[in-house]
Amino acid sequence: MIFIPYLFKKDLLRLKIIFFAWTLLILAQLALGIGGGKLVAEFLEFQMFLPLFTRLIGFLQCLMIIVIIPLIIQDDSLVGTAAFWFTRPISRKGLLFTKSCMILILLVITQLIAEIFVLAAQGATARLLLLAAPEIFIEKLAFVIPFVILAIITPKFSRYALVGIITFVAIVVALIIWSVITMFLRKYFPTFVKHLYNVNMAKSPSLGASGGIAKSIYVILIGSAIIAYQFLTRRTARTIIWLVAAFLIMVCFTRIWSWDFLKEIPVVKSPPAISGSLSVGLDANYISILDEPRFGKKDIRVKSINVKETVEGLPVGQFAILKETKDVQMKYPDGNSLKSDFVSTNNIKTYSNEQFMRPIQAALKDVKLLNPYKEDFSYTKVFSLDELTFHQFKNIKGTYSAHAVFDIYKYEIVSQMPLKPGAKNSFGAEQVVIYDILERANAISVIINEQKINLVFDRSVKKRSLGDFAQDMYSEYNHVYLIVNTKRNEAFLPEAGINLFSGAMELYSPTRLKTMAKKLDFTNLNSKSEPLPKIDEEWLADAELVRLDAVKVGAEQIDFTVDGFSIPSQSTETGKENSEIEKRLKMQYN
Amino acid sequence: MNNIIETRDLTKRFGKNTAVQSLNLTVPAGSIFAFLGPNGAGKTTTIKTLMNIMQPTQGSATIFGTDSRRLGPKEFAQIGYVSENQEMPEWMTINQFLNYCKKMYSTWDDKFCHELIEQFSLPLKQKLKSVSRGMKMKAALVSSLAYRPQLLIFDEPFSGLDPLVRDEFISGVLNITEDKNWTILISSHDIDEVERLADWVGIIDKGLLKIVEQAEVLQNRFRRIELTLKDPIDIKHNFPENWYLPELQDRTVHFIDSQYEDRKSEDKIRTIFPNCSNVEVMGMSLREIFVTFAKKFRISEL
Repeated sequence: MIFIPYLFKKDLLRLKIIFFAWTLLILAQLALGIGGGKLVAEFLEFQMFLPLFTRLIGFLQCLMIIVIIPLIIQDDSLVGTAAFWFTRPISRKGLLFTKSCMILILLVITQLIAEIFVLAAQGATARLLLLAAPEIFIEKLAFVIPFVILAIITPKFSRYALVGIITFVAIVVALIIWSVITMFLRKYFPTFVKHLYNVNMAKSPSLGASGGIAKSIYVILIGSAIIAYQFLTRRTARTIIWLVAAFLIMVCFTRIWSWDFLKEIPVVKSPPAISGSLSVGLDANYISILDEPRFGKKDIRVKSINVKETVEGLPVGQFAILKETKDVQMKYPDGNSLKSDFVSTNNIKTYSNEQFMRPIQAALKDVKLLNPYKEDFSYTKVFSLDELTFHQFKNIKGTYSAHAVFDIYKYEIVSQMPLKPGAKNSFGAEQVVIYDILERANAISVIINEQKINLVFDRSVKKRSLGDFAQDMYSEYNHVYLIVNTKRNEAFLPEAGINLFSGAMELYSPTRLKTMAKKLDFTNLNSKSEPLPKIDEEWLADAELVRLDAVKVGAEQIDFTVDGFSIPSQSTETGKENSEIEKRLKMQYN
Repeated sequence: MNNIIETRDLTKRFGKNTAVQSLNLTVPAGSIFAFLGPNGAGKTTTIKTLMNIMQPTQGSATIFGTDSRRLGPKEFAQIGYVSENQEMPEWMTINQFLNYCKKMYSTWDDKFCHELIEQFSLPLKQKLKSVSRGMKMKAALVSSLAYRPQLLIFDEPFSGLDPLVRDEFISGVLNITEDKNWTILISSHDIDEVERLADWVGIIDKGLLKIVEQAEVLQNRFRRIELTLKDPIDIKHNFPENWYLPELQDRTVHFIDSQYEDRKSEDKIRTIFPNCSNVEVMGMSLREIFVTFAKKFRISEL
């Protein structure tokens, strides 16, 4: 054991150049993570490159880990009969300890510290940092372990690379073969195939996260045991047998994992004050017909019928978002009917719809919203039909019926901060920073950076899938920013439209930390271009940037029917050009 | 402890091939044991099994009374091992390499190490990867001697070395071990060089140990005999078992007596060949004895 520091020193000395490169990468990660946001505020164009740089650094870090691990391990190789240390007074336990420490400290802990620093710089609270540490540690270690295993069963880097590539190709081929087999089985034995997949895991992000963490811990524990076994015995053939068995067990257990230990602890909210007289209607004046995207030439052309739905009967301040529509049916007087078990619902909406104005005003209480939006471009898909059926039944009046599931929301103020460059406010797992305010005549642009930390061990926040993140990005009704003059009790909503500079900055784990720059344009014109109070220095002196978040207060289901509903042959919209509507809908689909 | 190394029915198999079979070997303390055999005989496998680089398939081996499978830092601190097959940290300079090794041994003798460095003229500042093979072996030897191990194991140390380096190496080992009473196990297929060192000899062929004997005793009992006969005879018919490789050229008979004793052997020759006119008895080098064995093994296989 006395010799351990010398072994450590020997490896450091030998790999000094590559460790120097590694340090540069860690520093680059820190620099981008901590200063990237500021850089974006200075040079807006940089926002486009920031995600690229962070991904490039992440990629290079992964690549370097893959290269460094065999260099650390194979200088004192465990395979073959020629390694120098075999006949020297170096204990196997000591060697295991040294190599493990080196990999742990240089490759795992450095990354952990760097990411913790970045999270801290993005405004993560001490609680979040404590939750982030084990998550990052588990993730980084679980990534490192397979490469350590590969390095301990191969004598040289060339063999390591070859075995690594062969293993990778073999896994890909096995997956392809598996998909082909299941495709075949699905056709003839659908029930059997259902049991082969953990459907719940795909549906529930928290169960998926639980399974992911369980898998990582399994990789760490079993992988460490295999590594220790090889170091202490150097019985490579047996090590490989253990490895294959452990891999097969892992594949099986991820398919049956059902313990959702990361399930969110529900936040107690006031029960939904739904009057019980909820009613849903479809506005025949706002119907849009769209061609659904086709993925192959042979795919049948499908038309989607999108309608503006109206939900009534909700208490003031609450609004409903259609979650899913089931048992959809159109019945025609001649006895014909069209059915669809499930219609996928696209609930991507922007706050610039009339339906959100009353809830926003309710959340603002005594503050008067000066520029509410008066129109609604919110459409919901109610039916999908192939082209033949569409032409057969268009313009025929019938009765539309469906079972609709809604989520009920209301707005709450989650953040208030002085409207000053550099102001920042942390709330929950989020932080908002005002980077710049650009003043123009009767208008200002506020450049903000939103930082959102999503940690698997944070059970107070709903787990989000990548799809959720994408939806969140475009569903602008989720987060609404306003400038509020606290003395005058006046508020302005920003101009409609998604003013994102670019995508989100991702730090290696695509869902752990998202930062997004937004440009909010405020003018003193309302949707009818009527002049409102001036947004001048005097008004801005007492202004705050306020954020409202849509908070779910409940869910509601309703069976509803619409008599005399017909599918028009083309989009029918009163007072608006179809092209604009369709452009919006297409954007939503994209 | 009388024997530093002992093996009992040591067997090592690789799949269906048996590299070493039921090897029973003892290396007495203070001896220089030459472990000889042709290429592929099983010398390196035996040594690797002794050094716990490989695990025996059957049987056991002990070094300093410790089972080879349990050899650890304590035992390796007393063993010096130099092998043609051993990888070395080639990225180090010789100086770095010796300093690195120094940290492993509490008995490292700096003064002795410097003497060895001077004796072998090691270029300390050069990297191991940039020096010749001979220099590398010398560096390995210094790194294995400087801590004064009780046992030195050399596995084909002369392989690929030019004669000058070989001579330096052997002289070095002889000088150093003369006074120290160290035990040395040296494997080689190059018997000429080992002859100067060895006081015990073991010969292995195809995994089987054929001979284990003191070199002096072996050389004393082996003689090349040349007879001149008055009349030709059928030599195969008359030869005893301990007379190897008989040859007849005209009326001259050559053979090797493996149990030579001055008077007895000559009497025996005269009994078997009463018509011989002249008997010439010649001593044999270890190399000649080894070649005799090699030829005899080949003939017995046929």
